[in-house]
Amino acid sequence: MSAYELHLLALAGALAAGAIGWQIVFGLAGALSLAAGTAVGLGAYVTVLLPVQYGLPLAPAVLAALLLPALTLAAFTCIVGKLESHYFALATLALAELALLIATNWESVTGGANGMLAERLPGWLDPPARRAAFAWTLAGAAGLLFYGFRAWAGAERLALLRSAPLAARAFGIDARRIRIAAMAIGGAAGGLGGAAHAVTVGVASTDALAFKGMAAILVVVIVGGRRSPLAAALLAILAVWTPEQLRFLEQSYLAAYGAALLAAVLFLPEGLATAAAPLGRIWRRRRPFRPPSSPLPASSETSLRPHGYDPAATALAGDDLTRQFGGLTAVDAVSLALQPGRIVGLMGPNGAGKSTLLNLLSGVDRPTAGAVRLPAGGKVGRTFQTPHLVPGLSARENVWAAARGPAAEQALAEAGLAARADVAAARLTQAEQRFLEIARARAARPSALLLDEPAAGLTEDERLRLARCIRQAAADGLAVLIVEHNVPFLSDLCGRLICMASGRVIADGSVAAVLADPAVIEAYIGATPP
Amino acid sequence: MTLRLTICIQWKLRFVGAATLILTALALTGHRAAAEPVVVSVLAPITGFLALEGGAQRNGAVLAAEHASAKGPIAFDADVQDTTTAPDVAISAFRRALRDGAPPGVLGPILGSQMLALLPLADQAGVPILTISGTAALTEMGSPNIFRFFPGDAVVKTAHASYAVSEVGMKRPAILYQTTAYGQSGRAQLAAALAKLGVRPVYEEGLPPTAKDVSAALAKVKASGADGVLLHLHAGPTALTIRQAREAGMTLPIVAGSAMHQPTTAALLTPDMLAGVCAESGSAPAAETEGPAFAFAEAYRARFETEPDAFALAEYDAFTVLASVIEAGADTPEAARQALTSGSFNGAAMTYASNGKGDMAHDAVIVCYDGQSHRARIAKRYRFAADGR
Amino acid sequence: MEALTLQLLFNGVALGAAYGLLALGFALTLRAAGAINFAHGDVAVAAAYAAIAAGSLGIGGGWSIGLALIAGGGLGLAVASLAWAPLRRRPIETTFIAAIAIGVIIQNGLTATFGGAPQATDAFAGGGWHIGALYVSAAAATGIALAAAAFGLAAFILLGTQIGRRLRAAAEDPDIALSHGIPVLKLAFGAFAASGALAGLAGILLASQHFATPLAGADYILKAYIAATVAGWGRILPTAVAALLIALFETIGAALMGHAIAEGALYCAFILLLAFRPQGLAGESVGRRA
Repeated sequence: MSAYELHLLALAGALAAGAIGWQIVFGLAGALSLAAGTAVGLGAYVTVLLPVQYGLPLAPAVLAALLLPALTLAAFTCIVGKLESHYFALATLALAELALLIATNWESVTGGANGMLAERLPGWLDPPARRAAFAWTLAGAAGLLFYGFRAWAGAERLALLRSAPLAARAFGIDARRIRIAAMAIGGAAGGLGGAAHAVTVGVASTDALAFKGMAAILVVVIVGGRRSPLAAALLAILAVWTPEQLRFLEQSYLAAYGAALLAAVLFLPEGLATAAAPLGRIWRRRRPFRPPSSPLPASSETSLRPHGYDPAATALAGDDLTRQFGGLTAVDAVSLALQPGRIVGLMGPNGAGKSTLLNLLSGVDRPTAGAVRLPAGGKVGRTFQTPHLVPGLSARENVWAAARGPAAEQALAEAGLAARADVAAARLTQAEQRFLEIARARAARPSALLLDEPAAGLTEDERLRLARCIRQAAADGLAVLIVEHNVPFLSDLCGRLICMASGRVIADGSVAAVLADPAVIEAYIGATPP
Repeated sequence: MTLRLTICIQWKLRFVGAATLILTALALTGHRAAAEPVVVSVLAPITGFLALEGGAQRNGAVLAAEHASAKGPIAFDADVQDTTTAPDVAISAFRRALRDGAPPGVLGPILGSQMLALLPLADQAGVPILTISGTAALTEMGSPNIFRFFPGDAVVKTAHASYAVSEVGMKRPAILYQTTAYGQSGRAQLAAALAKLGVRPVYEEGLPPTAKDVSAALAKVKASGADGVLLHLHAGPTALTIRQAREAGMTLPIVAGSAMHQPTTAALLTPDMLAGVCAESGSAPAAETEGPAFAFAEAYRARFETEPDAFALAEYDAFTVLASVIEAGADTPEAARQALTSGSFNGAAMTYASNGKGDMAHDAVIVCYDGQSHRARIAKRYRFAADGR
Repeated sequence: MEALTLQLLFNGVALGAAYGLLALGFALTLRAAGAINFAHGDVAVAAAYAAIAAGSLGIGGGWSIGLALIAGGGLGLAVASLAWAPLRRRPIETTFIAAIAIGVIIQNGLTATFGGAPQATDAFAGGGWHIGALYVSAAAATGIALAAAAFGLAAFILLGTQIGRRLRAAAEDPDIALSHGIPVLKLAFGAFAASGALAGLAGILLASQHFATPLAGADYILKAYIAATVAGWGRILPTAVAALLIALFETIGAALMGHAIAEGALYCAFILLLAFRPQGLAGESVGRRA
């Protein structure tokens, strides 16, 4: 290879590392950050400035190039980490502009718009081949950060966070913490890209911080693939190589590159990695998933008992729970306690506050006043009115978002999904999706299971299976709370029924007593005119 | 070639401009087969925010190649490669130029920060790099391979300062400069040149190239009691600042940077706004009325149907000098470096000779506008000794 | 100093008028089509260039304004059909990237066609009036008037007509709107055209006061994005106020702190605003959806 080609290869390595950094932030954690170019730029500046200004050798400079963007972006995310996607995007864009502004105007340190030459690069980096190898080594390190972060946070849990944030919250996945970590690790990977860029180019300049850098990373990840470091590496090579090949168009070549990019987005909207996914499936078919070889424990010695199971302790309690939205009080000083092994029904007209109460009890929402009590080590599992699943993952992988291992397999089996475990959630029937949500909730071994209208839209057969499934959960020691409109279904299953109206509990007792309660009849007639 | 053709055809429908360029390229390829021209790489920012200057570079080189080929005996071809404004793209273009072995010389980009990044590579490869960048630091790094065919910032800013102080009579000038590589380098030189004349600027401010309203800066200039304004800004901001100053009723004399000598900048303003405006430059071909620079200007107008500026002329001269060196037999980098270091060359703008550091150009001009037309006239020519005095 | 403040205030209003038009158009496509049109600033620049090119062929002067409107509208439709319609069932970032690609094409296409030199336009009458120490340029005054008229028209259409009601319904929930027989797709294309026309007007305004350069769009989109977000995406009066505030940062802020620091202060203020008032200055209803 000529020095020219090696230079392009080295540039591609730097771009690949930057892109992998953004894959961590956007592809894995789902945060639409526009500061990926800033991580690269900061890394580039640190790599050049520390040796030039303070005489540090290259190795600690590269380490600093990893740390500074990581810390900066993590600190920034601590401030704005709760923003919704477009707001987060714009906040990070403002940060990027701010960094560019500082680099341009802080002339005494950064060299201003002229940038700063990397004068003290070690001599062994002189041959272009070494620089290319250096860049790709750092890109490889960025790849390790990618897989490390994915392993730490859990691929399925990240997928759940991206496609069903509410369900993720119900499973105790801390979105803000993951976002901060992703920005830090992604920033570190981007900083490595910056170090590679600075060593390749031999200079750190404001160009490294300009939006062009971010745009190049966006291109690589969106056209390549959101969660495939390999695709990012490939696309980085292509993205550096293509405009060079179009140079014969002279002044129009970048416009032609833009057109090529537009075509790529239009015809490969999900990225090359997805377009090549059929190949991946062939690969996976060759390595089928083997459930644990040890036989499943008989259900009498279940592995799905709640964590820290204590038959004598209350499984879940709410004390004076209140939730206000603006002027509206959706839940008004509700107290209740659920006992292990008992199935309780919760009914009430539309707008009574049932779903809000479920959200409070499951930690999806926080009460304005009052508190939720759980036994030590206890968890809450729940399902949603419309299933909150990761459509692209298989049934088993969806359960893995809650727990892996024998618990997952048994939960799938008890929900009747053992044979369908490798089917993508999106391809399951509506009923199967409901059972899958129950399996997922069960796999986490919660002390209480909250079901939001589980029987809606099920056939008679499916309803019977659902009832079996719920009884099994109770038999395993879980407290079960079912929100349901189907009174016969509730009467069959529940020993106790609670009725809510206008945010308050208006009746609580045996099924027969509650159904006969005049307040309950009044609430139903008053709320739903025939 | 087939691949190239296929790609061409795909884009042709969408890019009429591109199609024309391809046809030119094909024509040149055919020509090459016939006459085996010497290809000289010309690195220039023909896209991005310096496309105006890069375009001038390209035109100057293309015209020089045509003139040198017509004169014979060797045919030359200017292979223009875009550098955008990023150092990494400049390096790609430079390495590309060296793909098939080291050429006798390469014409580098006008952007100083790119030249700074290229110099270590030029030294590694031992290839002379001819530039029209004014950034002072370039010839202070001890590289034997840099040859600057535009007066460095030290030269033009000395002319800039002494014209403002000695001819216009400024004693309390204000400086507005751009927060870009060009602006920050020039401002340092301008301040140094003023200090040598015993003059301290009463106000200085850096303007980002995106600044849309400079009335605040102008008001501070006024409040500082300045008796004149020195501008060191890119083309658009220069015109914007002059217009807003005139609209605000500010009649202070203005001596601007080289952007103001460009006819395209003057065209942005009405003649009355240009009254009392002067500008420094390495040369001003559009303002010449006789001599080789005027001949260049006429040829340039005929070829490109637009007015030439000093950058086009300097690139023309640099290309012509390199071609003459090659024609004289210096077809290796070593021989070309030797010839460029020791020779003296009569260009269309001025006589070029190295000062030992690679500064080849030592003349500067000041042009002024009379408030009646868009046309500048040469107000003063400066000729500095090769050692910079 | 008082005269200066007055002048800076006026210049800020003139600049804010153009930013307001940009922000309004940006928010319009965001609400009607859920699209972040990152080529919005480039559309404004390209429309101005189209008008300037026509001007060099003799169709200049006041015609330029109409031409910029039409060119902007056409470009808006082009963005809709290339970067939005084929991708609207895809994740939002794909439209984002496609729009960036269109921006690259516009910026480099303009550089290749017109060169890098700044261009002036004679769309607005030259000259102006000195009122005491205040200088009111005719172009700025016309620009402010046109922007006010555009804002008035937008308010009337969005709040007072059937189209506006349908547009708002489509913005709240496209699927429900579709099931009620609202032509969501047609409305979105209309929004892109209107957004482009607003950008075209802003583009010719900015070109007349600050010249046109092929790359100016990158700065415009940033200001439009910030103004639209602070205003809560598509609320008309807050959009005007936010755009005005940003412009005043550039005039009065620059007078107080210098240009570079004023720009930095704008970004810092914006980040802090987001951190402490994530729902925007005006509060808003669509933040979650997008």
